[in-house]
Amino acid sequence: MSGFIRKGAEIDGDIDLTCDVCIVGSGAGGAVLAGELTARGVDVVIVEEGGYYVREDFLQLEEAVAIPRLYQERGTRGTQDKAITVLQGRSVGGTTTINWTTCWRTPADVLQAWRNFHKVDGWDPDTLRPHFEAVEKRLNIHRWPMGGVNRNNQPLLDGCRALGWEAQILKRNVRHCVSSGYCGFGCPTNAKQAMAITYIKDGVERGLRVFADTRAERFVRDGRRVVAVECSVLEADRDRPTGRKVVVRPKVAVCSGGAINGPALLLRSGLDGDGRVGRRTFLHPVIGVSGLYEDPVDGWSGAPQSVSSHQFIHGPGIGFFLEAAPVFPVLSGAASRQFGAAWNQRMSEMRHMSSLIALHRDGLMHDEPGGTVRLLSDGRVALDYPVIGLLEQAFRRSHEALARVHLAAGAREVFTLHNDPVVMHTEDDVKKLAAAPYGAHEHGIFSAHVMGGCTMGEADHCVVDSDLRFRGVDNLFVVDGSVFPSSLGVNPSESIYGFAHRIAPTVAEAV
Amino acid sequence: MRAPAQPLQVLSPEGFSILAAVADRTCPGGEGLPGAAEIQVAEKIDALLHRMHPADGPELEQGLMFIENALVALLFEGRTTPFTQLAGPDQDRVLRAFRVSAWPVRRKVFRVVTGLCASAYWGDRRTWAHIGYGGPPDYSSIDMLGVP
Repeated sequence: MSGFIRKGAEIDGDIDLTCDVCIVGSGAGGAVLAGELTARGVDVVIVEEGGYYVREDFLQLEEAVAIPRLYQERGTRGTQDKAITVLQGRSVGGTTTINWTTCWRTPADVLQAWRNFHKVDGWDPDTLRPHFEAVEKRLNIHRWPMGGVNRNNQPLLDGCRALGWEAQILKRNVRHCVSSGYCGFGCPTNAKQAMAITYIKDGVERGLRVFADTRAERFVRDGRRVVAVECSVLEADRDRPTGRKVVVRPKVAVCSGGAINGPALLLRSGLDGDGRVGRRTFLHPVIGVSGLYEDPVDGWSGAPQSVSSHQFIHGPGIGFFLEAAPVFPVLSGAASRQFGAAWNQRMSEMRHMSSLIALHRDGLMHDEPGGTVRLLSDGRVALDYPVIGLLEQAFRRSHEALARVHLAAGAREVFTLHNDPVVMHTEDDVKKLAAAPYGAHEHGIFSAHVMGGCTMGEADHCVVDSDLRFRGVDNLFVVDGSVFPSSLGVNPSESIYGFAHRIAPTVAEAV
Repeated sequence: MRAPAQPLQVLSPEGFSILAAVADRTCPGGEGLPGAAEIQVAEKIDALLHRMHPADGPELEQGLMFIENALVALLFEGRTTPFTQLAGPDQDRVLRAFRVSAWPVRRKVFRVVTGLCASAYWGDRRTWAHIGYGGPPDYSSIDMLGVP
């Protein structure tokens, strides 16, 4: 039996339907779960607030088109104080449509910390191994060849080697990749093994029904059970309800809206987990330092990420890992807090610019509260994330690390994204960073990896148990990155794929 | 007040004028670069707001009024002239003051408004020659190597 993917414009009246499992969200968690459930003969419906796009829709690779279409809040999402820009996807496939394809298994030390502090039971490397192997096979996750390291990533490799720091070539979920570099705007060749062309496609062939442009407004309960998922059909490419409704009446409901939107849906449904839903939201907060090189870098071309260094992942304090970020006009142009002629001058050097980033592993220290997702009175979702002293200290260390990498790699000039950028030309200049301010609104801070908000585990503060079942509701699961009790210290997509693969039999059993 | 090149969909005429003035300073053009008015930065932002949550437009408008309002400016900066009536260098000083203000709402307004302006500006093809960006490649006829 073949399923379908139906766009909002194709829904011309109210719909009321039943199914075994209704999954809200079609990203890394929801899609893998749907694919695995349909393989077990389960009748699955996905509701996805984003639009449905195919390869031909991604041929117009301009940021001005792609970002408003494929990113949450048209690319303007951030923390409530706007100190941190948050990049999350919004489409059938979720963030996998626009991510940079970097894949890692969940680090063993993080899983151990979760067992120790959150009493997470049954999620150890040995248990997860077959699930990671399965998703790696389906998504062709493999180590990128050394010859595929572009000139934007090369300084990270060269600089770390010169400094005696750890660095490695990372893995990507791509097949027949032509190294366009445009992963962040939807893959124009279907090389990226995003959810829409893999697990969603698999599921549709087995009867999966997907309603795109359809936002889940709330889970409706009767006692301890979800009995319906009420949804609004949205105007294509606009955040406005059309007035048409979709109501899904499942035996089992799954919240896979991702960190931020998932907790927001639960809060709209009156499921606040005794005040715990939305708390402990973590971001892998990112800072960037750029280097200028004599030869052109053309940082928009080639695999966006191919190198990573975990030299500093274990701290002291909050640790961080180093990667590259592609260089594009809007991504780079809007990253700075400078403006005017001075920034125009900087942008004129973009061809020679390598952009390296540090992602901070937040949530593993006891005195880190993380952020909080909440609802505003006008229906919008807000994320508050305090940039605490521990993180400010880590920002200083990571700025220094990135500056040293660039200089060791031969950069002729290195600059930060501070309000008054720190400019360096020699190793001796790195000392200037000690006097610079660090924290919210002192320099650019970004996030592309939102995690947490529905902490998993058997400890009292957890929202879902170790089976990802929402406490107090018998037939509701949360299957996405919001269940992570902390950030991971690696790009999270493969962890979400693997966790969804692991929990699929449990969800099937609940039907 | 600055007249928009397209009919406004969300912003008020006053809000648009303030935004256009901010865009002129944050994306000034020159040395071959077109200015914000030629790129229609404020118009592009108005069009983007039309696609966003209904509360986003009024919130941005409120932030723009905060930049413009002389009474508020008197409290924070000691100025009595509305932003749109200041000379360019003085407008730059106002924006820099917002950027580092001890008041969170002023820092937020700076980040939102300048971020929107920069995105609209650098997303326009006419700025790309200045930064050496030739634009995206054409994959419409790529040999798909058997990929579905």
